[in-house]
Amino acid sequence: MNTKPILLGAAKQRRLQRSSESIQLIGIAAVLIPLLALLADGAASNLGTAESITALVNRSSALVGTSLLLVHLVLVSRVPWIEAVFGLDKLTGSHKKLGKPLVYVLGLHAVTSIYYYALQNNEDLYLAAFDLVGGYFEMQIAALGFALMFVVTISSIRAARRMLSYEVWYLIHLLSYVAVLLAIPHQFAFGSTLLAHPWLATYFWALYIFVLVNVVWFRSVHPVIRAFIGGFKVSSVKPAGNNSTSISVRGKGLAKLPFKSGQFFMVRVMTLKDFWKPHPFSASNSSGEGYLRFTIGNRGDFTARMQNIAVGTRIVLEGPYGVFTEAKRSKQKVTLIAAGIGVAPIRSLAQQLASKPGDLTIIYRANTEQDAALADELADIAQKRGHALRILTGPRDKRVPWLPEQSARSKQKPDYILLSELAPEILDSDIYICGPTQWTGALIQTVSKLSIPKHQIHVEEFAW
Amino acid sequence: MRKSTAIVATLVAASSLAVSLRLGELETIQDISADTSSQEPIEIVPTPSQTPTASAEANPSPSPSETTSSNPTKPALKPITKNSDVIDYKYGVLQLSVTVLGNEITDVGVIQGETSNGRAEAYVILSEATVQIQGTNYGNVSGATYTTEAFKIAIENALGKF
Repeated sequence: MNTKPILLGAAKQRRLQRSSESIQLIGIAAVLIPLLALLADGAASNLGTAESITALVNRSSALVGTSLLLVHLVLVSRVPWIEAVFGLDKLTGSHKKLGKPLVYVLGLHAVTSIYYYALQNNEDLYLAAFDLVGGYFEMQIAALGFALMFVVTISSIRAARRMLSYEVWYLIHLLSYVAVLLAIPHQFAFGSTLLAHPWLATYFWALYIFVLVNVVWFRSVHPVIRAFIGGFKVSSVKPAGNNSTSISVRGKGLAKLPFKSGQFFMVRVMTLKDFWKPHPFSASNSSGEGYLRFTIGNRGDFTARMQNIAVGTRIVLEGPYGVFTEAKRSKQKVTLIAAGIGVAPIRSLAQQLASKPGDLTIIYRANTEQDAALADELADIAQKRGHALRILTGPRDKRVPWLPEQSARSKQKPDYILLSELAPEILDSDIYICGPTQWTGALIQTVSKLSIPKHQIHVEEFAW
Repeated sequence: MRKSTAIVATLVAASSLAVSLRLGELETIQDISADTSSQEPIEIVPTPSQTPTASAEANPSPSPSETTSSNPTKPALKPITKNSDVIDYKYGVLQLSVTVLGNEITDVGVIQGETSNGRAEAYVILSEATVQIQGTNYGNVSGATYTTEAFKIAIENALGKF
């Protein structure tokens, strides 16, 4: 079935590391290159006056801010060659982390621009701000862009996110594209470093076009084309364990999807109520089965409506996304740990990962036997392929929150000993973890006590 | 990122920053020497009178003491000074006087202009550059881009009146 030789061990791990480092280095270079041009321009050579220092801070914050802004956009552009290395959730996480520093840098640029203008013209700051922003069209729209960006940032800080509905936040966030476009003209009209070095202006134009094309293509055009060509429809709806449902999806475009076991899709259900917002769901079956299946637990809201979705409903799929796959594996042995509906990608991996009997250990945490979605399927796969399967049920333990009471209480052993008893070869294995955020956090704490190298631990959070 | 990669990346970044800083220092010195494409050191800028034969043929004449030019030139020529129009630019106004001896610019003076924030120093650099290059084909004085532009316009304007 798989014609490529499966490379594992140190060589695979080095290859993975190289690809992720190369992309990180591209990001760093993107920030560094304009700074080099700035210094080569002599901006830092005759410091000493307040004016020259302000100019240096102003110009460097402009260049660093612009580069960071482009990196910031690339992080959420879903460019496949970057997504395939880091995974959509990590990229989104980095995007969130970069947001605030970015606005600080751009804020610094705005403030120093006004201060510099004031110094040069012997004006006070208010007058300078008024003259500078009011006097030039490019500056007017750039200032408007910065104001928009500020609004977007405010709407994204945690306190505001809690107050705003997703819809409002999403609409506000779309403004950031407008903000970026509004800021472009003043860079090419007034940017002294760009004006002094035409090659740098060309470089920035190329970067802008690259980012724009990627964002427009992979975020909008490609999914729409896929939706029309793919023609995905719900083909069957079956209950799977207590309070969850397995929804199968078929369509012409299925064979063209580069889906690998363990990945997820942004699923858009084309009903009047839900078409406008995609939801992330991991496939709970494996590639090559002729259909895709999503197993969705009822958590109220949207997932409640999904329990009774009609056969034949149109589905638009964006993806596949995620690096919770064989691609990130570097060890022969694998430990799969799932909780609740996090079992979906684990079930997919259990079936697809290349293995000999005894290579895979599966730990599945569920509240009750009835609540354990897909448990029978997992048992079936484990028996056929020779995996060890441990299903843990019961109320949560207080001392070791990722375990049920009865597994933890009887023996007063440290949590990591309990874990290595459940998965004896965990130290020399790749660990795939999928479950609710809190449970995952508790489990990661235990895993970290075993000093297992980071690159052997793979986490997919389904609640993000 | 591995430690080794991080260290190498940091070293590369730091050294390239240092190199461009040094380049920047050279740039600010060379800015006034010539347009970068010509790459000629100041001394080679050809002015006919500087050649030994030219000065040998020329009769020594009392050269105007106030001009920076030390070139002995044709005796019949007198330095002529003309003023530019008042150039209005971003940071105020600028008016220059240009002194020409024969076909040679010998002096540039500032009649009116803003002198704050290093502009006075910029005028000195720009005047010297104009005399050395015999024109305005030189780069910007760093941090005085608008002033440089205005200066060049004023020079061209004054030269147009001869």
